[in-house]
Amino acid sequence: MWIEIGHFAAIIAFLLAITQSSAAVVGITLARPAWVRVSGRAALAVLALLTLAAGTLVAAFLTHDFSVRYVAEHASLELPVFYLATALWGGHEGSLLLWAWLLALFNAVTVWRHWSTHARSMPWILAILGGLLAGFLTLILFLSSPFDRLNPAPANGRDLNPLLQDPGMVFHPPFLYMGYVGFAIPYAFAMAALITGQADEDWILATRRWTLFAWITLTIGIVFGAYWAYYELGWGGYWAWDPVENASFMPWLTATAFLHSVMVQERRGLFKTWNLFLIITTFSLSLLGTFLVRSGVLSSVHAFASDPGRGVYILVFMAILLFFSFGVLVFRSDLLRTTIHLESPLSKESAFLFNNLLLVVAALTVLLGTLYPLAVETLSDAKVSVGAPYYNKVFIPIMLGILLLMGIGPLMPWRRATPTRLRRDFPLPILLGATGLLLAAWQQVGHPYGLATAALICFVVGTHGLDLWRGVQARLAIGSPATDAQRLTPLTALRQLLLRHKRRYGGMLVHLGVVVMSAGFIGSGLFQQEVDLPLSPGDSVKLGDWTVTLTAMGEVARQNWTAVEAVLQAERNGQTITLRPQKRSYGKRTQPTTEAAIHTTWREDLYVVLGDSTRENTWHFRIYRNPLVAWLWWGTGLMVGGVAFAMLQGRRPVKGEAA
Amino acid sequence: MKALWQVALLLTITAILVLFALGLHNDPHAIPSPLLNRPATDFAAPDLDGQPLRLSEHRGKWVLVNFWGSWCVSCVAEHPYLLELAKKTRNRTDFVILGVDFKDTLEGARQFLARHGNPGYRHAFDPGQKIAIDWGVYGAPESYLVDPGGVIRLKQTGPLYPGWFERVALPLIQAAPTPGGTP
Amino acid sequence: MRTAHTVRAMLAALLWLAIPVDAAQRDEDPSEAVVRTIARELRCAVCQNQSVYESNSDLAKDMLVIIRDKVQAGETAAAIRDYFFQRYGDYIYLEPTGTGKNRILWWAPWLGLLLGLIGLWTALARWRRSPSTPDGTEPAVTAEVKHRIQKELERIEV
Repeated sequence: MWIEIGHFAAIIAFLLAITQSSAAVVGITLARPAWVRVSGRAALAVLALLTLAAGTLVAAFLTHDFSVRYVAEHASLELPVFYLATALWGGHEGSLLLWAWLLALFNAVTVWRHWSTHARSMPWILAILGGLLAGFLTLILFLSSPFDRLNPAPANGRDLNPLLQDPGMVFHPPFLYMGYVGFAIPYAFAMAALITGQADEDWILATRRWTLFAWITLTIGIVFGAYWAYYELGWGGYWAWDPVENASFMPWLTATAFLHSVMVQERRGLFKTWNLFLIITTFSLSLLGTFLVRSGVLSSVHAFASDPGRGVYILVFMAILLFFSFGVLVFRSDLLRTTIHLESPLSKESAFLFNNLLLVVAALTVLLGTLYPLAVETLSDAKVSVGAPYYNKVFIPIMLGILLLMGIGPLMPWRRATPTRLRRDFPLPILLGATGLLLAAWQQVGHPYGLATAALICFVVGTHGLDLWRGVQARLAIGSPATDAQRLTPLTALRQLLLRHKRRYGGMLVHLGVVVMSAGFIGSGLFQQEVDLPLSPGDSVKLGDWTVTLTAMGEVARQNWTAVEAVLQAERNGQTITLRPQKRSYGKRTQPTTEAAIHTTWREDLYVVLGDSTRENTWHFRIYRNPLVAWLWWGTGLMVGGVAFAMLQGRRPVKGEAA
Repeated sequence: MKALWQVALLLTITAILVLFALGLHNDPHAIPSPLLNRPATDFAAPDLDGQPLRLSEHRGKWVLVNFWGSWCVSCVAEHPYLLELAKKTRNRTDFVILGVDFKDTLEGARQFLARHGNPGYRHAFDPGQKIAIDWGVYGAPESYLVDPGGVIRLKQTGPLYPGWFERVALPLIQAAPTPGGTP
Repeated sequence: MRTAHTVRAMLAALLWLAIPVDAAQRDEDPSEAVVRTIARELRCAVCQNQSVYESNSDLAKDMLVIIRDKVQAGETAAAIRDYFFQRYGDYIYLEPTGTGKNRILWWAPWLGLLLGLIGLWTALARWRRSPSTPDGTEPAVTAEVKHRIQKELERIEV
């Protein structure tokens, strides 16, 4: 009965979403504020109803209600409670409901926070967000309903896919969707700005925090996915350039470009059309991700069950959205005409332009690599695959270019960089970069990409450190405004500097996080070492500094799985650790899953995978040394910290803030 | 100049959408076979009773090589047609059916045939799927039609279906004159 | 709790299996590195986005066995890759070949970058030449005033 209530609530929410959209349009065109207010209330009601709907589904999971088809397909009596709650987004229907709920949530928050400050744009924002919600709810209610019943109800469910029974997979979808859906808000503001004709900086300032929020949650979502792949899939890596992984990466790239170029519009009023184009593209790419996963057009390890019916609907939905958005952009672009004047190609503005160029080319490259196989297959008889080797060859050089620009950016002044200033600022970081290069060469990093990354990491740290140093120096020179007599200590100056310019230094922390992650990418990408061999109990093998010995084989069991487990001792420099890789069989599923045993240190991960037994008392093992993998996760942590810090800064620029 | 960019943008979007629309009809799992019109690789393996079986023994006849396994659900759906086809073509001297049971156990294969019916032709036993890989097979069921000269003329990815022989195979067989065939 | 006890008991019982009878320092078979390189370049045909080396599927494992046998028989990497290419086509290579239609994949990024750079350079040149507004004069003031007007409008409207 509860599920029917949830279903009913979703239907009402769908009707209210349509109401939200149409009432807003009527209200603004006929100049009736009351209708706009109705629209706003509808937004809040939609959230309440969808929360109820999702709640009934969660309740169905927690009470093992297998008469609900979705529950029967993704849960079982043996599934631990933690995963029961998260099985909600384990399948296509439930994850779409999560998408819609997040959209309703952000919709309501937008109404709550921006109602009084953006009255003229609000009707259009409501119309667009309402339309998006209606579109998703149509898909959910008519083509992918999680509320269907099964008659007769089975005694036990099919259980959640064992690969998804992992903490990483619990957090990956929500964060990823918060990112995707988060971009809907700046998108709606941008479209409203275009429609009302007020496409100046205002929409950017209003949505600055939304953009940061969406960007960082998208980043976290992508990294959780990589984390899950590393820990759960057991192939020793974390990124396969799978079409669905690419689908999440493309909006991230254009969003990063957007984050940077809006700074130019805020400060100089430039690139208005370009910024609008970027946010529309970013949100469109987020929806493209939805399409790719659910339509069955591309197959990947991620794909949900393919269903052309859904595919057709999402395609039509996307077509409407794309033509509408870009159409409005094209037809209203004349009102955005400004005479752009850039004083010098050596300036922060043009550094951002080059940053944008590289990021957009990178995104287009990923798009090409992802769509090319589809094009070949559709337009000819052949079938090609574009895998990791292609992306590594083409993509990495572009990323190195972006890394370089990331280093140049902080020290590049606005408007014009004089030669004197360049001579003053850059020699030290360049020297540091060269030192990094030599150090890497001495450490026998042979690969040019490795050398380049090492040099660039040092260069970037150099420029950022120098910028911070200069800031502190400047503050010490100015002295404290409160009392001239009081001398500032460098530490106090630093503290004041950071607190006054949270955006700037939050951004620098993010850059530092990127640098740490780059080190992780190069370390684990270029320097991975592995052995693949059969072992019997008592055998040992050497890998790098480690001596790994198989001591025993055994069996383990838990709530809903049994496993064959190997016990290995790994010894390095007198320190010994125990590793227990497993091959698990979950009762309902026939294919066993491998659980890699991973020992993480700051230097490297020791990663052991248990294979098949080919002979009596002998099992195959794959043992990897993955250097610097932990730096990936720490780098992400730094990025999160940086964004959180930047988001603390309020809207008004602090008095006396230097550019 | 600006108009050029706008047109390019809208054209690109249209192209991508059209591509997706066409792509919806693709099967992302199907791989086109490069083995068509190339000589078939011979295989030699024991059959399910342990007797040696070679493909080249049947040179001079049309051979339908059907790859299957007792683990394969679609093979259950295909099996009635194979039974019917075997009965229909039993008296033909120019056509023979061979099965290749891959990635399977002898026990599993025997149980499958016992439960769903034994069509009467021989099956090569390929537990390590070496023959299957040698023939570019990646799923089951898949079937190849080999002509009397040993050249692969046709591949069917997925189950064979009622009417396949009359509509697809017979035209090929009748087009090429073979000695001793029943027209 | 009981599960933990059972597990410990089972492990203890099974530990006697661990008495090293023929224990030795093992090394990876030297040909394994070659096998790995080749297997990483080939795509697992059924899982469809993993290399043969990485995939856990049965087909990938059996392909790996075949690769191993061939390497140990002395076949070259090119010959082994070609063996699979002959049977599965272009699709089996993870890295698209640089021939025919595929060339667009390899050229497009650099072409795009070049076009972008040229476009950017000409745009920069054009923007430098365009008439500049000295700081603090009309346009800036107008924008600020416009902004204020809009803010007042918004306060009135709802």
